[in-house]
Amino acid sequence: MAGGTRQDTYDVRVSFAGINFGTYDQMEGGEIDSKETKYAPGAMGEEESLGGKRTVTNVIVRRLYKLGRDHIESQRFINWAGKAAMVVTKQPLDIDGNAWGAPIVYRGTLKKTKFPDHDSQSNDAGLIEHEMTVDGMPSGMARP
Amino acid sequence: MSEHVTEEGLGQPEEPETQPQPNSIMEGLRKKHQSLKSKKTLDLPIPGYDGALVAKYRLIGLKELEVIGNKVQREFKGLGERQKYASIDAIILACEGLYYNRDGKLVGLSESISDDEPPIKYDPRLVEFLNLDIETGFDDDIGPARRTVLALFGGDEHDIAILDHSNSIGRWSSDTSKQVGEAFLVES
Repeated sequence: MAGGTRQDTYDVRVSFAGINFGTYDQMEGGEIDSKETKYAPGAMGEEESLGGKRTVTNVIVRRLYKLGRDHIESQRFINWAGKAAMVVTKQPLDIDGNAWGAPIVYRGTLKKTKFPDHDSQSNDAGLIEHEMTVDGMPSGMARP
Repeated sequence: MSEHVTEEGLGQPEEPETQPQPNSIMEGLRKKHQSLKSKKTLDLPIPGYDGALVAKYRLIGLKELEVIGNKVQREFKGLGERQKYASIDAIILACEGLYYNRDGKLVGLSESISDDEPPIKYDPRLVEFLNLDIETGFDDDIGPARRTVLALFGGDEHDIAILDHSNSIGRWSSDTSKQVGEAFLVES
């Protein structure tokens, strides 16, 4: 089965300080990158790749800012910046919206919370945004 | 302490009250409440595997069931199909993992999946591990998770077993303090 996904076929759930805050609408970052090292041998030999140390970029999640759900937690978000444990779980969904496969799980610390922008001329949705610095590597799906 | 007259004579201590005291009632109810709060998963054997394959399910709430209900209502016209796929979706949603019952002890299905990783559920790992055929004999419109449940239970013709399995989760969800008919649970 091809099992192609779209950008919307994920359920991204977030918890702060062990408390489940439910599903978020947007997620970016969490790229697994490496610091490459190349070595040039003598006698004009071709460069050799030595690989490099892995790093993970910060994860950013966003969702519609709802007063009864997000605004009432605003003081907690203010207090938690820079210290609260944060877990982002990215669960792939199949065409029926059912979970399919193990999620990719990022663990880290809440770095930043950004409350929605204000613009008296704008009609755009107001989003709350959280940025997480990631501890180590995320966990993914292992084959049996 | 008061004393009362008995056939043996005076001065015998009073028999202890047989009726429960308010404090012990309160204590009993508190214990039941604590136990109710702590019972959050159900171990339920998958029919057809002689108790060897066991699914662990979590409680699912009305909100989650409403989402499933709305989804299958949009997707299917017939009552039977709606019931079948709502049951399958509830089974998928509630599943916390599938385990092998080794003499009453639940162990992970695959040794190559460590305890730190999410356990195998109704997902591609189960398909690979049990070599399930989820390609042939299924409606093209049905996604792989639903096909996996159908294949694991023995195919479309075993849909009553799926309904019954889902009903067992529902019965347990309605009162997690009960043993949910001990016959359903893994013998230990």
